Amino acid sequence: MAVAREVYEQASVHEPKFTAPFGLTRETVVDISAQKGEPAWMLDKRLKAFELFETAPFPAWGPSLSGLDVARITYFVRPDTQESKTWDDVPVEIRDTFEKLGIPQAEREALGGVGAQYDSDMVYHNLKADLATKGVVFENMDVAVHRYPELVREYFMTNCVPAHDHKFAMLHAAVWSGGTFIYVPKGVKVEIPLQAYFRMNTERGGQFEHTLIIADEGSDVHYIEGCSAPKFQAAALHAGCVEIFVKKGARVRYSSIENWSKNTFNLNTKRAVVDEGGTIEWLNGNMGSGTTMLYPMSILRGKGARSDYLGIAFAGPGQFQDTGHKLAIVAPDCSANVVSKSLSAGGGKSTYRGLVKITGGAERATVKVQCDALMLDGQSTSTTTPVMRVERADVTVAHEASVGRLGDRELFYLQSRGLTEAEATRMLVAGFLEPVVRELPLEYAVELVKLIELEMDSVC
Amino acid sequence: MLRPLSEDERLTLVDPREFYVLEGEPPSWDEVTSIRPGERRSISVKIHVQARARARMIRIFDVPEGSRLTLYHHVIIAEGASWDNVIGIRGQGEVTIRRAIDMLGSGAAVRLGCLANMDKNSRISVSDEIFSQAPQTKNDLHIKIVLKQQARSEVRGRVVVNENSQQSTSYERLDHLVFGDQATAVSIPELEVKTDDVKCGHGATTSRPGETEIFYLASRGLSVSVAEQLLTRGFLAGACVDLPQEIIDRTLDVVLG
Repeated sequence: MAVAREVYEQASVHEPKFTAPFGLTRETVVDISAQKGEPAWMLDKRLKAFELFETAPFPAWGPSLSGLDVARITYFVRPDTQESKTWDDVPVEIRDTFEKLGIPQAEREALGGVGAQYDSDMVYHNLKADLATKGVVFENMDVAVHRYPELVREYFMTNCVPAHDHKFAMLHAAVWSGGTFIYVPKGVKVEIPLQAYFRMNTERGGQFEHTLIIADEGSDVHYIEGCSAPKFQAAALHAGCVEIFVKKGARVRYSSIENWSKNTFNLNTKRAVVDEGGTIEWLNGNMGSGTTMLYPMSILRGKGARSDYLGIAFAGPGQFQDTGHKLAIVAPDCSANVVSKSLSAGGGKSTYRGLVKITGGAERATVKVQCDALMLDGQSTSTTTPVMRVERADVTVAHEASVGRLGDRELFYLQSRGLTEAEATRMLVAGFLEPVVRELPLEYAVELVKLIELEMDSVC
Repeated sequence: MLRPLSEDERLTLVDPREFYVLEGEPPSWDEVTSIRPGERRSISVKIHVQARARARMIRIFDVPEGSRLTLYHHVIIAEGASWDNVIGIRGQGEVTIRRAIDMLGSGAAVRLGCLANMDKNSRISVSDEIFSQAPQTKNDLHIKIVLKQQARSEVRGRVVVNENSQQSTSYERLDHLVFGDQATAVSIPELEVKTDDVKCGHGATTSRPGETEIFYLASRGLSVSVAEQLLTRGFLAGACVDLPQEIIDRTLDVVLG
């Protein structure tokens, strides 16, 4: 797949069929629900969350959100199309956008199912027939509300990410639209990944997709999300939400490469609840967006549950990547491994903000956290703020962090072999990121490395 | 010369103009301070380590049940100067330690240690902040805390390496050894680096004594409790930042009671 900056940053010309006025009002929330024909309980949930959002304060910590004017964001933009199961039925200008992003090609070559969202609505959703016959559900979240009401009502923003969790979870619950619903039946192994791609195309727009994954006992699934937005003058907002339920003995791998444009505030919430013997694997890449506040969280509540987190963040000029992993362990014999890599260049700021919380019930828990930061120049900033709270004696918790720059000796060695300084720098950065990149399927690893090279082009 | 504080000075905040000025030969002093049961003791110290001076302070406190100790240090370190500080605590009461270190001069060095043996329903809160504001500074921070019974600990180590601190090195280590099943340990190692030509790192661990090590010592004829004592002693010694052995032994004797 060819990766070029303009692929991500150029807006498509598509006239939406509906654009909500700027700002968030009760009427907008009611209108979103009405346009989707939602049941009363979902409207009730939206309105309660809206009331909470109105009074909740902005976070008093982390990056400044002063550039985010929530009254100048449009919260609901509907493309002029219906959801399709074939790319031929998607309007040509939208299809071209996803073609450039390589989504249909990836679907043909390596994916079991694909969803594509454009602004507030899914425009394409398809699952391979053999997975459907095994009972795997891969749906647009809006459709799932109608088709699987019992499951959605039980799991949607209840005890994983409750609607009152924080200000942007409240906002999300009020205006969410689109996203993905996945249910994998007991014992079913989904051998090839499912993917959704979220594209925000409207200036001063907001995207609030909701992802709900339920992996039933003994099942296995890998889900990949990609995100991008064109570059406008005005700020845009992404406040998505991902909820993952990993049942007994199940395994979910969630991979995400977020490449929002530099004027986007990415204030996303991701969380997994893991039952006995279950495993959640996170792979999180944050390349774009001007300001990111994103801390995927694992709650290990079943005996022997496990969490693995691999994260990459790149903070270039004008960017503030405030990311990290949060972990709460409440059951015995759980384990977790966290590896975070960050790059700062051109005055960018990267922060690792983590939490490990081990409660009194977490007998024999084992946690290892490693965060490494590489600074490519003297104007950038790197901060690590991990918090470890341990309420038991028979546990092992370890944290290691390092901050430094590329080694002069390594650069000299590579240059003495004929590489230019820029090539040597790229090679060393690739080596620094390799432990994370190697966990991705090949085509996504290539994309991630190329995205980082694109970011480095602007500063090296 | 640095001198011991008088009782009056310990009880009130020191006037910011009154620095304890060090010049010439490296001075040092150490002291064991016993807090009386029920006493509330607050000690504030402001120290200016002048250019190329070397200074060391070792303070060891016995904080019994029902008593409270609050310790404030503000240390300014000038060019080429060094400051070594070790605080030892045998605690059953409530302990608060706040140390702020400003490394203002090129080549300034600081080594901070804190070792605490906390028992019963005791509380300890340690917050150390080191600001590196000049090139070629070096800082090491080692905090080792043993928690028994219902003891609680919150330890924050914050190192800020500013834009003009090129070629500086920084390492901080926050470790808890937990014996009490109702003990709580909170570790927050923070690192804020604003320039690239530096080597910075931090580490933190929380665990109970290693079963392998206890088994090894027990297989040599030691009882489990003696083996645990030995391991605890070795654990705490790691916070003594290269002090002479006799001082380490004395410090550990007091802290471990």
